[in-house]
Amino acid sequence: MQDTDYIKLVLKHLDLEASPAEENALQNWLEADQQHRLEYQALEKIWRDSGKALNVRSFNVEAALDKVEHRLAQPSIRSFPWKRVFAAASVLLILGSASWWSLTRPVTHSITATTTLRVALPDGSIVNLRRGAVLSYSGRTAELSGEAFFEPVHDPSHPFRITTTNAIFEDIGTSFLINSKPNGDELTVVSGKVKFTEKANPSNNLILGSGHMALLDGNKFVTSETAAANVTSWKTGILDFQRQPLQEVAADISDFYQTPVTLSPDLLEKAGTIKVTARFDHQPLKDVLEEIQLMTGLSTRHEKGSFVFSQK
Amino acid sequence: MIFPETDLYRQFQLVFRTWYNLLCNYAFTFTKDADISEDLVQDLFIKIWEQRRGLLKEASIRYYLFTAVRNNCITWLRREKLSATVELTGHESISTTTDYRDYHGGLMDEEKDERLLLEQAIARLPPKCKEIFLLSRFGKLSYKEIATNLDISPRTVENQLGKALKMLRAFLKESGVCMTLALIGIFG
Repeated sequence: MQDTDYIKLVLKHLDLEASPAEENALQNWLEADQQHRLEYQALEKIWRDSGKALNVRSFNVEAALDKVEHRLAQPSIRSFPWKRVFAAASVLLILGSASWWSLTRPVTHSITATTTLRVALPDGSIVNLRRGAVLSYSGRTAELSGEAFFEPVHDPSHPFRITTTNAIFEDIGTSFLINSKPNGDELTVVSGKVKFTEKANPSNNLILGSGHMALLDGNKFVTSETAAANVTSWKTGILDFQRQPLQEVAADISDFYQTPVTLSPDLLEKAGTIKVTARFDHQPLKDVLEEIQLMTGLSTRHEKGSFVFSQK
Repeated sequence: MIFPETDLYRQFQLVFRTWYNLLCNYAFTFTKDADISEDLVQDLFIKIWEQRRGLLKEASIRYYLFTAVRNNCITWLRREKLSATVELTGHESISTTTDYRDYHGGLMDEEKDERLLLEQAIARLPPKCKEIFLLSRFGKLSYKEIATNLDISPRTVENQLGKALKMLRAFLKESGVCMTLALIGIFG
């Protein structure tokens, strides 16, 4: 066998690219001579070391990740995705509307919130993004995934419009919260009115007034009379409970601190009768739990990453 | 309330932490400049998050990363008015022993010497051969992926890789390292 032939066999074997016939040929070659096995070991060592030999410089990965996250949090200006627009609406080109397009060419800004972020849009509207939310906006239209609180400047002739994967929201003089989740969009109206429309079926819509909450689950709207008090806690840093049942309190705390807080099974029966009235302003989770323990006479334990309320 | 982007963002961080160091080292083999290498790799990750987010959950992300770093490095080299072909002839200056010590502080002297020799040997491979070898050993790309990436046949990939290993072997043999290897072979 030629030099290069066995080297290729060894290499294909090491790279897991050898066919069964080639594996056989390699075995035969190895068994033919003690010297072949030494040669194999030498080649294997070069192969193995060469994988490491070039990974010699250590870069500061965490510092680099911080830098990247910082850059992602800055609004970046990108021009409108022209290719897609023209592909979808090539008729426009035939109509010779290109010059009109270039004049009114919208600029899309995109923001990824790596922390809670307050963004002032060019028209004066304010958007508070929760960590993880992604907002792209252009003029008075925005696209959202994740959770955000909107305080749009009202302009009856140009309603502020937000679209998510499944829904469209239009302000009617308002401040409101959108939580766009894969399984549905949730809207909480704090003031004014909002038009909430299913994207796939625009005739399916409702107008929601202040203090109300609605969930679009598939094509069904589920509304509830009273909006929970703490839906915007992530923005304000304040958790406010007014004679609220313990289950709801635990759910709000879980959501705010992004840490599961649950009730132990022996508590579930009487949990509805345990009401909590308290206000926490930017307090650490530990303090909040201690306060509630004192108030209710319950204890908490830490279990598999979650906190569990139980009888003492 | 769950944010749809959170899982994906965690995936982004995971991919970043897994590949950042290796990709910077890979970029360095082209640019010979640590800062430029980091910038190029960071730009790539920003582009992925902003435009190609869907890739993060795909198995082919590794292939994409290495291909993109290579392309971006070559673009950078062209823009810097350094011809990529000139830069990649393998006769460019190789890291000095002093540089080397910075990177290999923890290694035994002998091991250090071997790695240094190997690094030098790889740097001396012919450009195309070196490129293919790096994608294979560094990016762990399959022969087929390399072939598609460089628009050559899998057969050529195989031949070039064989050539690379043969040349490295010959270079190390000349340098006497194979003596140690042979001894390890006998007693190991």
